[in-house]
Amino acid sequence: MLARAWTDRRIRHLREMAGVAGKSAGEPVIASMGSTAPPNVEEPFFIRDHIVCDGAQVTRPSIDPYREPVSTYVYLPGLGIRLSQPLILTVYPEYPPPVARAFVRAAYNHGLLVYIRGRRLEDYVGGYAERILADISYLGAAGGFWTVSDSLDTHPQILLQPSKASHEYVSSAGFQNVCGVIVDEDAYGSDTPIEVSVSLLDRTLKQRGLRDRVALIASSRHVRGSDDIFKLVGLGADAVSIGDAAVIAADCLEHQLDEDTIYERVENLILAIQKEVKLLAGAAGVSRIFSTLVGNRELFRSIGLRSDLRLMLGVKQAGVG
Amino acid sequence: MDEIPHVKSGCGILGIMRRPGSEKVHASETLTSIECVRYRGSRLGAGFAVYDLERAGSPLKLKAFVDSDETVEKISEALHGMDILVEPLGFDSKPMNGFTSWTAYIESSPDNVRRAVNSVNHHLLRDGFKGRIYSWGRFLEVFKAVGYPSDVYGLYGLDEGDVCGDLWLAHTRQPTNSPGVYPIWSHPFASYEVSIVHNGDVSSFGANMEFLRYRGFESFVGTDSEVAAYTLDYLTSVEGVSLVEAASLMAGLYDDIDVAKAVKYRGVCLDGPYSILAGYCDGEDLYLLAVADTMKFRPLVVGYDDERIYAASEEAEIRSLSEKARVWPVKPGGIFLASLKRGIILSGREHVECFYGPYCRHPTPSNAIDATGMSYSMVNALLRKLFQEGVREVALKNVNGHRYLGINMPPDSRLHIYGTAGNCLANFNKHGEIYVYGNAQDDVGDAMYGGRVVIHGDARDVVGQALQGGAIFVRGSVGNRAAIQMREFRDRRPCLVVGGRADDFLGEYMAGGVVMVLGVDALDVEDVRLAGQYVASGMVGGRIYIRGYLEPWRIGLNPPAADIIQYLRGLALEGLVGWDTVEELSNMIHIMYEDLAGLLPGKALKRISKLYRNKYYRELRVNYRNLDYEDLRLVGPILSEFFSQFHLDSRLQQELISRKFTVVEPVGAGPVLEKPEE
Repeated sequence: MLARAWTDRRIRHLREMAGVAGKSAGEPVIASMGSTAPPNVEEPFFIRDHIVCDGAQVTRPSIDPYREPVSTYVYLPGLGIRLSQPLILTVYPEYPPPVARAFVRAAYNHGLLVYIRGRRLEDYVGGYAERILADISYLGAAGGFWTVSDSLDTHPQILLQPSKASHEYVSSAGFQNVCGVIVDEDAYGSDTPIEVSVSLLDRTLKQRGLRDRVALIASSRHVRGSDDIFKLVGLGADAVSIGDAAVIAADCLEHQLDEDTIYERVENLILAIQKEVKLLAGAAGVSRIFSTLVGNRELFRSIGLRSDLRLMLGVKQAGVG
Repeated sequence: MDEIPHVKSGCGILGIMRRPGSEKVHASETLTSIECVRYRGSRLGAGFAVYDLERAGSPLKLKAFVDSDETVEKISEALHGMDILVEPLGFDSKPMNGFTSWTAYIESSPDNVRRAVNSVNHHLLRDGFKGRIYSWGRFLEVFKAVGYPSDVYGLYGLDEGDVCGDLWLAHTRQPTNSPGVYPIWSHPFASYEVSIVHNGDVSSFGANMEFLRYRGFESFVGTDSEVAAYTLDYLTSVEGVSLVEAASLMAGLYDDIDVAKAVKYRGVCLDGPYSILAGYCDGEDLYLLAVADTMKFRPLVVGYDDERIYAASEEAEIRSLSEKARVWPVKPGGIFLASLKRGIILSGREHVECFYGPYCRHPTPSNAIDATGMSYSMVNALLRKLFQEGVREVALKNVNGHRYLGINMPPDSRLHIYGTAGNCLANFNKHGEIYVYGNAQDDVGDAMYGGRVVIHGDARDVVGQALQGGAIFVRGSVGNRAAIQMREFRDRRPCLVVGGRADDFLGEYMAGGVVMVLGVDALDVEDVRLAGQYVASGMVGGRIYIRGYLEPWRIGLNPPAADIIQYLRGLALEGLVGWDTVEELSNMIHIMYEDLAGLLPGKALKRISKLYRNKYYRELRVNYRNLDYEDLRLVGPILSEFFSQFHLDSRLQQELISRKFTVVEPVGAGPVLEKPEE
């Protein structure tokens, strides 16, 4: 069922943005005059497909991001780092070395972070370390940020957590050294959709007064593009990690491509996603992602979700209140 | 239930504070002023807030809307239960849509009362619409209801007692996102000594609510003003942040400067369109605060005369009380702050003295028609009738905010407007000449395609939008988004000439015609810029002349310098750029493509150009230069006409055209001139 979430339309959309297809690399794709979006037009696969965003209206004009300012940057609290947009690239263990290197360079150059998972770091990453997240067992002397699965009590660290409805670890003693949490939907033990997990964790951190020193990162192989990123940020994530979406966009697994080609495609994708995020924000009258969008569940409404799920998401039903 | 009106407008807001040594501000003054923009509101809500510094020794005054005696009892009991002394004063309003306003003196610490109010309101809302505590200040009292401001006045008997104070806020409401059938949705909203009226629809509402929800505020009726009032009260009273800093945080001015503050106060910033007025008392002094959103999507003017300091949606509100007040608009993202004891602390923009002169009274002709007491539709009907009867010259006096004047002028006609022309002057107009002896409000000459408008004062926001023929001459300054989407067609080349300066987005999407910004009164003033930022953003045709130097970062839309620096560092890691170059650029606040073009090798420049370009990118040619022969052929006649219209000295004209101008036009799409005759 999850593989079906990568519809032909989505794959084509990503590839046009990356410059693999079409004629406007690095640009949002003009899809249609109306909506092509789930749940009413396309088949919904995930909870986020049932969430829609409040658009601009007469009293709240839309912002044209090509001529007017829309800031996409976010600061990651706890990490003290600025991302040019709420995006992180993840290098999964099976990605070949040229893909990994292209991701590292693209993330660095565009002021993002790259999360290198389950693999030893190569020598070249030294210069890029300040923009790297890596598993503590592999990070070694390179620098960057540590990710751990259980909080230690020694060093600022980023906690990698499966996507669950309960976030009781936030109250544990070791949590005081945690400067960020990655909610990973693909991790062993995940039993809750990432939308729910992220929204609950955002509010749990706020209740404990920890939100301004702990970054919240959403990670899933099934983040399919700007719409998913925008929605997960609105549900509470400071940044959203993509991996497979970039690999699919660059069409670089089945074909043997050199690092520079992959880099260029990923760069195009990053620029296009930023523009799409700006368009989405502008359409909702939002000019600042960091302060206005993150955790602004009020901008969203749900279509066809059960009331208990809506309550956990903190998202109201469309057409009601 | 009230019928929802068909004519949609924006809310009207007003603030009036007395200056030291002046008499207190009477309720009747406030009413006169806010009722003059009655058409901005509806029957669905209005209200007033009044502050009096002399109430220093008195107890806190709590005010609540209640639906029954039972609810009064419930509130009293709950307050008692939280160690608050309650001395009931009874009802102070007539019943309105099932609710009546009930008041009591209370004694306790502000922190405790804040908690109690939140708890009581939470329960009242949860139990159905039982009532709501809407004000509990020592210096502040709120009067609000369903209706127009005049209805509120009557419902609270403000006309009977001589209610007066040091500072008043007023609001007339056009409901958008929360309904208006009960008085709990009316404005102002208040928390302790903070009260708020606003016009707008903030997109950050959910984020603002999130900020408050974990800081002791959990009961909301769902209105922007309410979250703004809670936020300002929380920041000033609980966090101890100064009023100016709190306003800066709410306006988002810290966002890219102080990361720690941006993170700590994430959710405080208001986004989307708004203009906000706040009243505040710190126990020692009273403050009137006015904030405009960074894109300036809502009107906001401020001003003063000898007795009063004003802030309003429309200049007409101020003029209804003071003909001689000096008035100016708050700039995009601007903060205006005045206090009872210190006067104007922040003026909401730079160089007010230079660009917004004292009011200049023009003698009115004896045959002028008096617009006093006439609605804009009456005035326009009369004008139409006169023009139909063949009259070709009409003078109107005491014009004050009358809208839609001069929108259907017959050929060879003249309209003389004495006073303040209201919104939408000369919209879609084709013929005739319109003279304004005074200032004009927003949206002058929208889609005008012929004729002439001559304004002897200032014009506010969006002057000359989609202007496609004819000329607009403004002796003073213009506001935000002047000449946007201005265009030309064959021999129809419109022009806008501004004697003062312009704010942001001058010539956005401009596709033709000529814009000149002259700053004639600032020829020898240093350090002034005659335009704001985002000038010519999305411009595709025509030409803009701005006297003096305009930094390149003010033109168009540019990527954040932080992103450019980061990309350069990446290029340095790849060996395409030297680290010394990165270092050199790191301290710059704005990095333009032109800055890089001279520094980077070709390959690096090509790579980084992706951050500046997009598929809608249109290269602009920007020159800081003297006017040449071609320029003078294009603008010489226009300038001569401008100078003669306003009886300005021709030597000044000579001086002006000898100065350098910043000239902006799209590459390959500037104005084309016919060849001069041999």
